[in-house]
Amino acid sequence: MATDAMPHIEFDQVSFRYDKSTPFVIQDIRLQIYTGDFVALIGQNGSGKTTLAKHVNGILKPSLGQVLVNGRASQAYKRLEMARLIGYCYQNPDHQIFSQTVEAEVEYGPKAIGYTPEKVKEQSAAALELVELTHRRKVHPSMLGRGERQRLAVASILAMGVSTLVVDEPTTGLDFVGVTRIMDLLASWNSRFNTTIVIITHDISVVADYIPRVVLMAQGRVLLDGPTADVLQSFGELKEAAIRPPQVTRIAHALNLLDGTRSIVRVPELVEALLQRR
Amino acid sequence: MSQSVRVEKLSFHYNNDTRWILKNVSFEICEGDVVGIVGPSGVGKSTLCYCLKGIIPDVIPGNLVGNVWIDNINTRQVSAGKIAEHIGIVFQDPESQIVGLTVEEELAFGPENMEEDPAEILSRMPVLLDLVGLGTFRRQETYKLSGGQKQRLAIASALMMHPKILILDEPTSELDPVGREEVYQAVRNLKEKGVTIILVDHHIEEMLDVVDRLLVFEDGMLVEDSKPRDFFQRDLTGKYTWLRRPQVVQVGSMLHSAGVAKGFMNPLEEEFIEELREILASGNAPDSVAAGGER
Amino acid sequence: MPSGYSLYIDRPSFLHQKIDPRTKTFMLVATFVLSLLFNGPIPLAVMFGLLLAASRWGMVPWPLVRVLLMTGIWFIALSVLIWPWYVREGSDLFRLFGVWITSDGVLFGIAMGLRVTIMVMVATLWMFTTSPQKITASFLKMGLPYKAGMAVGSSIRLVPLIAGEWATIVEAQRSRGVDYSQGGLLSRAKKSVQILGPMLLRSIDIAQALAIAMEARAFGSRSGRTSITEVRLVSLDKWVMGFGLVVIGFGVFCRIHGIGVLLRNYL
Repeated sequence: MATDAMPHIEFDQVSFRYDKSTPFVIQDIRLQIYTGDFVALIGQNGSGKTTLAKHVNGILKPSLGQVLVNGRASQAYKRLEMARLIGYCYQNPDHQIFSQTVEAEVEYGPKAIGYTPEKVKEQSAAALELVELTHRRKVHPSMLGRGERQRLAVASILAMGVSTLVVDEPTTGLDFVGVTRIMDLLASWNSRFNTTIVIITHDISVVADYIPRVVLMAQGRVLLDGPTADVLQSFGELKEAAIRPPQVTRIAHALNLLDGTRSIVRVPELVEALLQRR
Repeated sequence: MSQSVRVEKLSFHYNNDTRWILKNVSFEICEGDVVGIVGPSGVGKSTLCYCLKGIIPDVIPGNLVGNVWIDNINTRQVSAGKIAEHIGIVFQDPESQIVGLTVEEELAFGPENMEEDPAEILSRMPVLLDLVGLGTFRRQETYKLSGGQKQRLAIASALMMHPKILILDEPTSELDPVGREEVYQAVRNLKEKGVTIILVDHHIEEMLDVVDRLLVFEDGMLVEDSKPRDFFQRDLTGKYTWLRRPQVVQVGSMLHSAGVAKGFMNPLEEEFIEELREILASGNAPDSVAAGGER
Repeated sequence: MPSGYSLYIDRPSFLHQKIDPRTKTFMLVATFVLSLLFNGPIPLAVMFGLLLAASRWGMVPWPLVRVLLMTGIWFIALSVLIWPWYVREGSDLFRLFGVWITSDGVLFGIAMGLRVTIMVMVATLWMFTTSPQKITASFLKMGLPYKAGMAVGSSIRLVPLIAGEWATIVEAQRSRGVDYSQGGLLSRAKKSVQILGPMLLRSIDIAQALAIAMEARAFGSRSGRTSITEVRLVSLDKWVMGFGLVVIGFGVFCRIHGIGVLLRNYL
């Protein structure tokens, strides 16, 4: 994180409630996300992580404070303008897929944005290639498996040429092949194109293996925000948020391997620590 | 011990798709067994659950070959409603399986359909609610429950019909970690009570210390039937790539290939830690140094 | 967003707890009949007032009452705008676009607005104070097919689920840059495809899941059904229904003698 540059997305003391008679869902959020950041939002259901994520692209507007996107308040953006900048993938791909073919679905977004036909074709083809669905482009989306539909949903957002992606629980209900595929895709997208990615997830080992920065939430507030290894080894805060640390971290803790000199949140890190300890 | 479930040469495909979802599947489950079912996405695990529950072929039609016996009743010969008394099911989505507005109504729904005496229905509620950890929720409205609470209510509601067998079809996949743990705690309580359980889940980690047997499906076929410990205590390189290895298993196999661990290590966390302690304590013993080499 | 599974909310009110669902259904019908017997503004206004009191008594929350009042005002306004063009009776008030607006026209408009409001209010009050479970149970007791009662109950149950799906789909498509507040009729209709498409599929999925879940618990496997929800007619219910009958009798008497009736040849 380069702290001198202007944040790409900045939460400035943001609080939100659905209406005045209900309590705040998120409260006093201060958060800076820089271009190229790859961030995991973790916390129990009801901790406010989805509400926070929906502020990133202005689907929800803050009740108090403001969200600045490239230095400008999210309210000041038109829908199309925002859609060109930030994409949001919903958890269930069936909530957004409506076209008759895979190709048409991917092309919808770029067309709606108003790109030229050539650019629509080009970006859609590139997005399909990336999610490895090119060979399925003429197929009806209902013929795809859950993992494929998930990737189609991601592709239809990517095709819009967004520089930032918010993804809500992309690994739910997928087997390991599906999980690896979607996470490899997002990670390579992040490193190759410097795309900013925010992921909401419950999958702690995915967080440890793929995502460099973690924002831990509980009761509508940010408990911790920092490098993944630091957050996942903060037993106190994790307990407060009712999140279990990764299995290797728990084992390292039980064996007193966490002496502050090294971090153990991934499998190879534990193995290495064990080999050294002998 | 008596048989609860017998599946004999079962094959099935849906009417609108000629691809066989299940291919020549045979297995038996004894009373009181807790059986885990794993396999890649789309391998037909849910279809198998529907077959066991008698929803196939009674409610969802298709081409069913072979036979399924539940409590010695052939599912082909009776309606799904009749089998409902013998085998209960909990589905994946907590939202779309709750019918009642209150916990009480939800629990009563099944037995009411079986024309049971209301007083008798009411008398069964406290025990079952305690079993799933919802003892104080009897008067609660169902929409106020969390996902984990809804799933546990669904378990209790299925048990209200006093089935001998309970199917849990990915009961935790829509839940957060707390909800998952709550459901697994309920499952452990049921196991203690001797309920026969068939459990489908992606998270094999949580399943390991609960199930007695693991049925592995690939491409519609039953490819393995083993004890959960045996399943991981061997070389799985290149096998079952769709299955996420628990982190302990990954660590164990890396230690094994580094020559530190002699055999394959125990996949259960507590026992794994004990084994690690022993390895660390014997770290300077000559034979294991020789095996591991100087680092 | 917090939302219940149906309009019904369990409250410790007299109307919720003490009165049998059959009695409430009877009173619902009785109120409908009464509101059709009178067409003068005064008796209808009195009924409206009584219903407002009943809503307080049934602990209907103020926001819901407010919505009902606003709807009522809207109904009355609409009705006052329409009826004077048809009703020729009464004294002329003023001339508008070549048509004389009469006093009876305006009064009848008010009455008809009140009548619709009364119907909506009493139906809401009934739904608010009677749980679907009790409606099903009372269907059973009255020998009506219980599946019909359950169908009412479970379709009410589906409403908030579908509403939640709708909200999510709209959000998902808005995130893709679709602006539903702009564009002409045609372009809006085109945009609605992206909501209706996924919506239809999701609704089918949900309805099917719910049907399978009900089937899995033996729903409809037997001809009968028991119910833990007790519905019992006590003497209070008989008094209430008796009172309802007397009032209807009185209403018929009034209608015949033209009391509280503004225009005899109108319903």
